[in-house]
Amino acid sequence: MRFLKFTLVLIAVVTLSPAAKAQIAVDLSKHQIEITSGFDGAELLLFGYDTRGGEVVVIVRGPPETISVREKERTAGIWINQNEVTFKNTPSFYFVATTEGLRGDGTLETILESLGIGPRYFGMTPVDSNLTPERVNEFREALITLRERDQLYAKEPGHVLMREDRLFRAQVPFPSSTPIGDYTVTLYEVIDGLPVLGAEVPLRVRKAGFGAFVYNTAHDHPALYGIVAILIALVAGWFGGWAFRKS
Amino acid sequence: MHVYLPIAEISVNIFLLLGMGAGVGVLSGLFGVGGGFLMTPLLIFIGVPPAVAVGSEANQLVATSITGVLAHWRRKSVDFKMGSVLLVGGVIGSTGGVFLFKALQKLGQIDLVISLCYVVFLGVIGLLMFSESVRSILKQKRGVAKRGKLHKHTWVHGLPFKMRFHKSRLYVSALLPFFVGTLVGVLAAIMGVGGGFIMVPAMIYLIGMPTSVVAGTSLFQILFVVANVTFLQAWHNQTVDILLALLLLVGSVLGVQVGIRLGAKLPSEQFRVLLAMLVLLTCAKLAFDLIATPGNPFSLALGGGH
Repeated sequence: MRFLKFTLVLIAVVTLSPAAKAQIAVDLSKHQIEITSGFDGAELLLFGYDTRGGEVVVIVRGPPETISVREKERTAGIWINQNEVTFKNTPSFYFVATTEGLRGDGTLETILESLGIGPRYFGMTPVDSNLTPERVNEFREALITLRERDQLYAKEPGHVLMREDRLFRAQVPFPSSTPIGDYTVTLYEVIDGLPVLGAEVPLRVRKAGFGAFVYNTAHDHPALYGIVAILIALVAGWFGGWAFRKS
Repeated sequence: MHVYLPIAEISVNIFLLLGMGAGVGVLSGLFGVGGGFLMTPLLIFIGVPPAVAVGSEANQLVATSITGVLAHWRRKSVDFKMGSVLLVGGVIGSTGGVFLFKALQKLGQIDLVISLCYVVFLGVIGLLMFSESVRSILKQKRGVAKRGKLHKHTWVHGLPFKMRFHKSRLYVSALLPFFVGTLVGVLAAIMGVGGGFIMVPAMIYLIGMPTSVVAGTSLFQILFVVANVTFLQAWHNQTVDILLALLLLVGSVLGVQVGIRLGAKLPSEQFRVLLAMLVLLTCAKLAFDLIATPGNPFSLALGGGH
């Protein structure tokens, strides 16, 4: 069943894409988010048009990561990390928004499942774990919950607002802990309950300004960075003592 | 007003950091402690990753201790020979500590070890300080000044490799300061502290140094140990956030001066009880977090165990 669905989607994408391209377009208010020293989250405006005026789904994904989920258990009275499951290919950021017509009744969930995207259907695979599949699932759910808490995964799908049956827009929120890297923003048009790839826009999140300089130096020249850190502290400490001795 | 810390990778209110620096600085000035044992748990509490908290706090302590060392140097209250022996141990201990930190981090147990170290050391030191200052307050009230024996001969004096320390007027085994220095070095690397709160009592009670040179000599050792930790954490783990260290520094430089002036006016014994209570409170909070059922037993770690 799943395979059939996938094949159908594939056929739909292949056959309808050229036509769809002419009728649908999407863009972002910015193609780059710069994390500067004053960065405290950001909100991008996603906008576009769909001449067919159908339902659309927008998905924003951050670069894939390998992540370990650890579970504490009470041992000799204290809580200690005991079990660990490592997942590959987990998106560092995930956001989904949809038009009103697809909300409720599990419609959106079915679409996401058929595409293999959305927190519960990620291709994220556990790396050689000796736990039962049920237990691994608990860890997967924990990962999603923690990411939702940090606002890195959307808890509830956002709203894509349609105007005059062809113009649409959506707000995409990014928290202050937004990870850096290359993101993809994908728009799907839903025709007869089947998602069709509409358009894709790249988005880049990078550190900028003084913060980027500090980060890059720390990673590219770690020994030099360490020495400079010590020198700055020495000068600051000496200066502090000197200034207050005079006064 | 928020500031994004480039290495910690979180956004924090700038006034919160300045305030924390100032608050811990006042306590440092008041009691002559480095304050790392309060600052590192505070940083972890506001969401700074433990590794970054330890590395950046070591960086900040470089500044605090150089100010102290220079002041004591002018007063000629540093025993450089004793300091050097402590330092040899300190460099070995802190280097080992940084690698131990990395290994524990891979195992996913670093948070636990940091917490356990804090609970044990804060608990012991807090209780000792509390009982001692209560005793001396009571003594003051009774007006009895009992003088202890000048020299007690213990197992400590039977150790080999004896060395003469002129400044401290001591002839003791070099192994003693070496081991004290090593222990403090390991703790500096794992707990993000200077270790003065452990080294000072050890110098007085274990090595038997005169109190006049204890503060200067311990600061001399701490300066090099925290510099070593800063360098190794930056070089190996990229966990030193210069911006975070600088912001804490600004607050603490001012706070220390306020604390010193305040300390000159206030009754020191009563305040020592307060410090002891503060230490015990921090200890109790950390112990509670280890025992209480966590809201969520799961946690995430980037990269996995590769």
